[in-house]
Amino acid sequence: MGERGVLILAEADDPSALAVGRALNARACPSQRVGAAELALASWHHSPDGGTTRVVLPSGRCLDEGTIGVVLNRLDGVLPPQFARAATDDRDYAVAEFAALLSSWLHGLEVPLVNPPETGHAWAPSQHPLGWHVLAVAHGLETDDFIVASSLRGGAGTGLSRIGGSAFPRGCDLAGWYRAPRGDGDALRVWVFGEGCVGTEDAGLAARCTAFVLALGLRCAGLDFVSGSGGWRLVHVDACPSLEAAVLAVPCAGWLAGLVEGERG
Amino acid sequence: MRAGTILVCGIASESPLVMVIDAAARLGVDCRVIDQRQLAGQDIEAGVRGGVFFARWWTGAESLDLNRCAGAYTRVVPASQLRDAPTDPQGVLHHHYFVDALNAWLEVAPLRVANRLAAGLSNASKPWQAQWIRRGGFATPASLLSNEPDAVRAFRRRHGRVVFKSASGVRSIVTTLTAAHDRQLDRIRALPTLFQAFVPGVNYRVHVVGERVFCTRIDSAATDYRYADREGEAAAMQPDRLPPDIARRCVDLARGMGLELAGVDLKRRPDGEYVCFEVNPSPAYSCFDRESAEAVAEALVIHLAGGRRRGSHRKPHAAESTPA
Repeated sequence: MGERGVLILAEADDPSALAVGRALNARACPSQRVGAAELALASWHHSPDGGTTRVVLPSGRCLDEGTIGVVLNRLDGVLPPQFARAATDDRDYAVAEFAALLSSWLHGLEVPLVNPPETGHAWAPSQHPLGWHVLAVAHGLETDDFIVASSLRGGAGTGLSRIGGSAFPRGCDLAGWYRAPRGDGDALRVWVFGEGCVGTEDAGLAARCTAFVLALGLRCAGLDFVSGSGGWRLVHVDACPSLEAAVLAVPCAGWLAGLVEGERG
Repeated sequence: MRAGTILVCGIASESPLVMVIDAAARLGVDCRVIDQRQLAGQDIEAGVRGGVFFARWWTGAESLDLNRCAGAYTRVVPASQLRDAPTDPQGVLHHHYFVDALNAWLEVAPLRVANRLAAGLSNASKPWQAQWIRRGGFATPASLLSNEPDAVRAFRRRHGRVVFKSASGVRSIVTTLTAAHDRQLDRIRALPTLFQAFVPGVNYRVHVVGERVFCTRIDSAATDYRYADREGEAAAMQPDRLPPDIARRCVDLARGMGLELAGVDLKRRPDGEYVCFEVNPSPAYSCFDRESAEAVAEALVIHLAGGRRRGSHRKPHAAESTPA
């Protein structure tokens, strides 16, 4: 069995995955990257009832569970290529079935999972702005105003701007998501890596950010803030932030290597 | 809105909703219904303004603060599953954002919800859910997810009778792997498929509502009793009681998953051990014996309204099991 390291689930052209992989290698922490198509075309033997899993990639390389100490997941789902031209129902079924396999395998590894695979749950607080706005407020983070409405008859959308547009005739697009205009205040991005943050020296803000990201069910995220009269207001959550810059890839790799060490210990 | 008001969301004519609405009327619980087929003329808005979380529903006749409800029961379905979904542009947009606002609100609403979608996520991967179930103390069927025909053949040789079914939340008919299927096994190379050792014994559907447990015994020789008639078999259902330790395991399992209402599929093997197949987060409890179903509906209304109500102090139902 090889030394435990980081399994990075990401496409070959994901610069963030490449940068984090390089930073891990620089720390002598083993890492391996696998893409969606490789997983979909692999040979699978998964025994979820306490047995082992054997995954042989199309290249013939075997994904040895014993070498996986942490998973960094940057895939947003797997569409098996062999179903790319299938009828919609068959394709949706294949995506759901493969997602079920991936969830079972990844959770069965019993190692830290950064972040869990997409569930297709569009209303999860990590996905839907209403959810993350409510959780942000509950964790002491100021947010911009946001509403989702089937019409504006209640008046809650007054002064807010509709997000995106619609192809429907003018006058019909009242239903939708509305938020406060961004304004031109200063911008701040905070990256959360587990219990640590990059991008802010404010320990209080950092603590609120890490607790908030954990409540979203994530371990890594990018949070965008803009300044206002009351301080920083959270305006965007990115569950798969770019980590290409060395100032991000290096601390991310350090955090992941620490998790691997924890698993070894 | 009265204290203890419950909200019911989905297709109001669907039997699980009908039974809850009827139970609320019997128990004198204020019950408001958001019927997906009657959304025209109704509106909803939910959001955060000035740091305050709000949700408001206009029924056409009145305006209600949804965050003041005591609990909610939801079986909202995608618009694609509605027979009479709107087709005009404005109607489509209105329906889409009404359901979007409702579902997003239910995920974070400050009340008891049966069930939040997040709590039911493990059901989208049966093998992942099986890992939860085993941690909850239940045995699960020996399983293999594979796209290697030879591995499946070896699994079948090891276990004798083997069934296959969907691994995801997509509904499928549990089917016995026969010699006829063996010739088609090469087809699994396209997509890993879930195979399970067949478990002999008696089926039990257990409905957990908070701390209350209702059990239906299903006697059937069919591989999948839900489709017994397709196999030329019958399925006889009757209320039954579980041993207290098994009832407790069911309650703890549902609670551990964050489910206020759960349908737990068990089978009691000839050696007496209970094997758990699945925990359904949106159980169609009304499909089982009428007596148990009515008891589940009443228990759900009481649970969502905040606890036992006057007039509900009666002997445990015949289908109610007492957890240890």
